[in-house]
Amino acid sequence: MGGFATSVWEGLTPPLRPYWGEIIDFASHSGVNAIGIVAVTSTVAGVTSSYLLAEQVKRFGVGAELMGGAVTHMLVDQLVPILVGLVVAGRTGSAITATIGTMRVTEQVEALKSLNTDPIQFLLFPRLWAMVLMVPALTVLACVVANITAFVAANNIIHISFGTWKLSILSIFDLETLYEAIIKSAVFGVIISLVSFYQGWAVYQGSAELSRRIQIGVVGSMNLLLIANLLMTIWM
Amino acid sequence: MLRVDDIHFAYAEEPILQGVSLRIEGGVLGILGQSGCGKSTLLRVIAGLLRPDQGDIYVNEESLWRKGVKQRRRLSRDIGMVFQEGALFDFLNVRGNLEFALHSLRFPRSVWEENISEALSSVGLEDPALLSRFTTELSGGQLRRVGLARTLVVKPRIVLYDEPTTGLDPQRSRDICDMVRSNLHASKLAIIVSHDIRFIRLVCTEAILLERGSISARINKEGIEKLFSPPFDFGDDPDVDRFHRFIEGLPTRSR
Repeated sequence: MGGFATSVWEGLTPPLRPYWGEIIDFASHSGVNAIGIVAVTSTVAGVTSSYLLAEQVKRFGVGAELMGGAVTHMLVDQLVPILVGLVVAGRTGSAITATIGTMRVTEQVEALKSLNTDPIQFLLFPRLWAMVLMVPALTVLACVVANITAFVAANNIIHISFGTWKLSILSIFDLETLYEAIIKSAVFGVIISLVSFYQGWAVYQGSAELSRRIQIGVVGSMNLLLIANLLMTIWM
Repeated sequence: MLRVDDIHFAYAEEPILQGVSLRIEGGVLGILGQSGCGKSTLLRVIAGLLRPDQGDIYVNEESLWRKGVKQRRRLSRDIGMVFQEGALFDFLNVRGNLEFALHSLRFPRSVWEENISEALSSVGLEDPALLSRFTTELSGGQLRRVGLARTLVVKPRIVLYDEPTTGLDPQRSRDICDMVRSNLHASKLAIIVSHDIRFIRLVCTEAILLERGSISARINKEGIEKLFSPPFDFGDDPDVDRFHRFIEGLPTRSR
C-alpha cells in the first residue's frame, strides 16, 4: 500500500501529461459499451419496483395518484445508483484489475516507466476521470430507463395514465434527489477505479494471484460502495 | 559514465542487494549470478525503476534519486531497458509500440519514420507487414526483437539488457547475440544480465559475479577469455577462479 501511495504521489508531480485519448477510449469502454447491461438492470429495477407498489395499490385501492413520484424517488435515491455502481464494479472494475495485473506480470508497467511515462498518469488518472464522468452518466440514463419501464408496468397492472404518473412525479419528486444521485455515482466511480486499480497494481506473482486480486477488487469495491452509499444517504 | 554507489535493496524485508558499488566508464558489463541473487533487481535499480533503500545511482555524476522525480525523469531518458520477454504494450501494434517510445521521449515527428526503419533494420525486422501486427501475433523471437527495437528507436546512451537470450533456442539465441553486438556501437555503455557465459564472452568487455546480493568478483576481457583457456588453473587470480567455479557449479573457496 505504501509503494502504491508513493507511486500516486509521484504521479501527481508535474509535469502532468493529460492522456485525452486514453480518457476517451476508457470512457467508451466503461460507459458506452456498458449501456446494454445498465439498460437491462434498470429495466428490471423499474418493473420490479412498480410491480410491488402497484400490487399494494390494487390491494388497498388507494395511492395510485402518488405512485409515480414514490417509485421515481425510490429508484433515483437508492436503487438505480446502487445497481449501476454494482454493475460497473463487476464489469469495469474486474477489467481494470485484469488489465493492470497483466501489465504488471508482463512488465509493461516497468516498460512504461523505462520510457519516461509515469504509469499512474498514463493508466490510473484516465481511468479515474473516465469513471467519474461515465458512472453518473450511466446512472442518469438508468434513471430514465427505469422510470419509463416502471410507468409501462404500472400502466399494465393498474392502468395508471401518463398524466397521473407525470403529475405525481412533479408534485413529489425533488430534483435535488437526482443531483445527489449524480454526486453519489461520481464517488462510486472513484471508489471502483481506485480499488480495482490498486488490486491490479499489487499483482506480483502471476496469473494465480491475478484471479484472486480480481475477486478481491470486485468484492472490495462493492462493499465500499455500499458503505459509502449508507454514509452519503445519512449525510446528504 | 555510470556509478552505482552502495546500493541496498530489500523486498518484503528480505535483503536482495547488500552494498553493491560499481563504476563503469564505458563498454559492456556482463552481470552473472545464480537465480535470485539480485541481478535483475540491480538492473532495475540502475534503470530507475526501483528505488533503493540505501545508496544512489549517478549518471555522469548526477544523482538519480537524490533530487526528486523531475531530475530522475530527465536522467532516465538516457537509460534504455530491454526486458526479458520484450514487455511490449499489448494494446498497441508494433508500429504503435515504437511510436509510443518516440512520443513519450518527445522526439519530433519529423524523425519518427527514419528512427523506426533504422531500429527495425538493426534488429533484422524489415517486413513492413510486421508493423501492423499485435503482440499476440508475434513469435517469441520477434517479441524480443521488437522489444529491442523499441529501446533502440530512442537512441539511449546507456542500454540495459535483462537476460536477452534466456529461454530461446540456440539459433534464436545466436541471432539475438548478433543483434546486441551490432547495436553496441550505438550506445556508449551497456549492461547485460545473463546466465549464458558464452554470450557474455562474445559481447562483454568486463563482467561481475553477483552472489547473495553483493559483488564477489570482477574480471576484464582478458579474465573472461581465461575462463575458456585450458588448463583452467586460476590459483593466481581469485576473481577468475570464482567465476570458473560458478560456471562449473563448483563450491567456492573462502577468500
